[in-house]
Amino acid sequence: MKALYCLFICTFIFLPLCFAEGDIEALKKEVEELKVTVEELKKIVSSQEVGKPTIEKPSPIPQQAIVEKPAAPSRAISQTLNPNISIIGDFVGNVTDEESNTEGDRFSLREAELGIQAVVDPYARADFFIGVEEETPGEYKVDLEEGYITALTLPWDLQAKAGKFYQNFGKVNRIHRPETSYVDSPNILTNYFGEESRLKEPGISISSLIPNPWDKYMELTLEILNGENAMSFAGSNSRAPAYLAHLKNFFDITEDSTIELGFSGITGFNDERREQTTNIEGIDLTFKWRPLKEGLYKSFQFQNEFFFSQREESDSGIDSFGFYSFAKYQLARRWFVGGRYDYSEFPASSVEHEWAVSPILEFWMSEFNRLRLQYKHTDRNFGSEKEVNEVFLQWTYTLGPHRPEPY
Amino acid sequence: MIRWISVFTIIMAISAIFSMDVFAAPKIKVVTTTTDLKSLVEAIGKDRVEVTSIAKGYQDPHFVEAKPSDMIKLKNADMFVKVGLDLEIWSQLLIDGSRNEKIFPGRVGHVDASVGARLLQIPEMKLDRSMGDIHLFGNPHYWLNPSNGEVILENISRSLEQVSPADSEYFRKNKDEYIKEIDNSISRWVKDMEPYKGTKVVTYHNSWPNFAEAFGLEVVGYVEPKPGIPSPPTHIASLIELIKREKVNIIIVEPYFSEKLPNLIANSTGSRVLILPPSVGGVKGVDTYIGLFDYNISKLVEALGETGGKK
Repeated sequence: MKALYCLFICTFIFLPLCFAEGDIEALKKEVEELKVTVEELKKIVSSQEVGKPTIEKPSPIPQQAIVEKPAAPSRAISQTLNPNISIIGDFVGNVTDEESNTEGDRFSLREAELGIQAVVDPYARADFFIGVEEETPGEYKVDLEEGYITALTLPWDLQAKAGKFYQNFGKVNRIHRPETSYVDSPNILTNYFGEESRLKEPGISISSLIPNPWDKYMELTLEILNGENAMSFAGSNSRAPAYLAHLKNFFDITEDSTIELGFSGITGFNDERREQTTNIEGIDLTFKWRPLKEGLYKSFQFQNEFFFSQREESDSGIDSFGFYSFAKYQLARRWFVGGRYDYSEFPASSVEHEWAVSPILEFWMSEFNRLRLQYKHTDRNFGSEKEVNEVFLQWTYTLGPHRPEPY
Repeated sequence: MIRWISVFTIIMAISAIFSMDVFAAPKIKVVTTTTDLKSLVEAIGKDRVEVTSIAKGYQDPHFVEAKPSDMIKLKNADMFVKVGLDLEIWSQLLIDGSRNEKIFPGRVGHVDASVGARLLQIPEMKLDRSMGDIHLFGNPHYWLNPSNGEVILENISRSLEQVSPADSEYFRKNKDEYIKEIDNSISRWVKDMEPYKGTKVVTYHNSWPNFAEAFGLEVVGYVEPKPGIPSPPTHIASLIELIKREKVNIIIVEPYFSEKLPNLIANSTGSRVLILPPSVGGVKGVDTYIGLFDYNISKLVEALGETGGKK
């Protein structure tokens, strides 16, 4: 009986201690806040004391805390409210031995791409890219390359995009042609997505960073887009959307090197009756190295993408695939040497294929002013000319705030 | 009987003590763009903060590649501190991708360290890129004047107090202590540099105006006058002439630039190349903000003493 009584007393002494933790914490917080208030009051009182000597700070280091800024601030403010406006000029000269190429050897201001980017409000940003391209020799057409809004403050760490944008398929498809590391585009992009070499359809995109115990970057993107790409899908007669998913995995190997591994998939109808489906899967693997201390002078990039396509036709199915492998080495602060190998089949053909090899030399007058020389040898098993040789000289130049290139 | 009660009492007391730990606040996660800011945040926050810097001290802070893994660091951060003045244009990509509203510009967790700092070389005329990669708002290397370090400490402390009001007293005490330490060190550094006041130097990049103003050096030329644009041979030739004419003995070079060109200039003129880090961690052994000045001042005094700098 006595034992039970003692147990009862002990429980009553110690149990409330645990629950009172919360109360004690609240009290502590209150005391802290009171202390802060007392300090503020002390400051107010002392500042009203006249003639109190202060300790001289050692001179001669200037002690001005606030500097009167001259005229620049008004410019700065007006610049802050204006969107970031930039324009890239893409000038190309090429020679080719392809007889069937009606354009022949010529120069072209291939594209002038205007970028207008800004924050819309505390919740979103918007990006517009308007391209003026030389469609046929001497004739320019204006095209909205991208125009989309990105919502940055959605719940559950989501981000959403809506508008017309380059789809998140693989690695290169998101990059604008004047900003890529080659004059042309990898053959798989042209053969599977069309002459523009990009899948760029209006749609919506939602992306999320997937939490994982290793705190690694894993981003899942889901997109619903119009199925109007003419090469792999139903073209302008399309009556149904296509669906895309992309998983991006990013790893730091050392502080100097990284690997990115991505998986993409897209499915949509390739006919207007909505009876035939095309599926394309992609794998992208990119290795990058840049030693941090000598980072201005040395870097290396090795990038690969594989496309697998399964296209249903009325009576059969056509499976095809293609890939490219690209390497670029920085020789010096402004010199880069690289090369790309392409192998590509075609979505609607079970027999045709081509391969190509392109050595590339690049010189930067500055970050905003770049020259590139590329030789491309293409070998096809179809057409009247099985082998084609081309030489390209490219000069790209940028005005306006240099938007950072995605890694 | 009594034994069981005492054992029981001890167990309950111990569990009460341990349960107090459960209520201890987790560390405040801070991400800074540079190592100097990291060192200053740690001086204030000590064991109550966990700080990472995106750029390393031996890396050129203008050309940091914003990696997706850095976005993850920002996603989990309570506070983000940047140098500002357009030094870290690359950080905008990271903030946009972080999905962390706490650190968006304008929020309590987004700290621009430059507020109230003494800024130099604020452009007063029409600007364009013929001057290279210019900074529109003033020279961003302002942390190299230790008085500005004190301003940065005030900015960081103010925001830390808003992020974690319960620790305000702790942060303020540490901040005041570190400011006092900087003040004492300033007396020492100024005294060491006093004999060399007015010495003319050449620097690789224009990272040193605030440092030069604080310690009495005069920067008369640059190896790379237009930031981001490697200098043409004509400029190098006129720089060599300038060094000979002005009797410049020291060429200050940041650790992330190639020494080839400075060595060539030094050989042609009889001057000496001095590798000085503009940031904490730029050279091994330089681990704190005060340590950065200790190192740079001692190396300068040594070099100026040997080459007979202005006395």
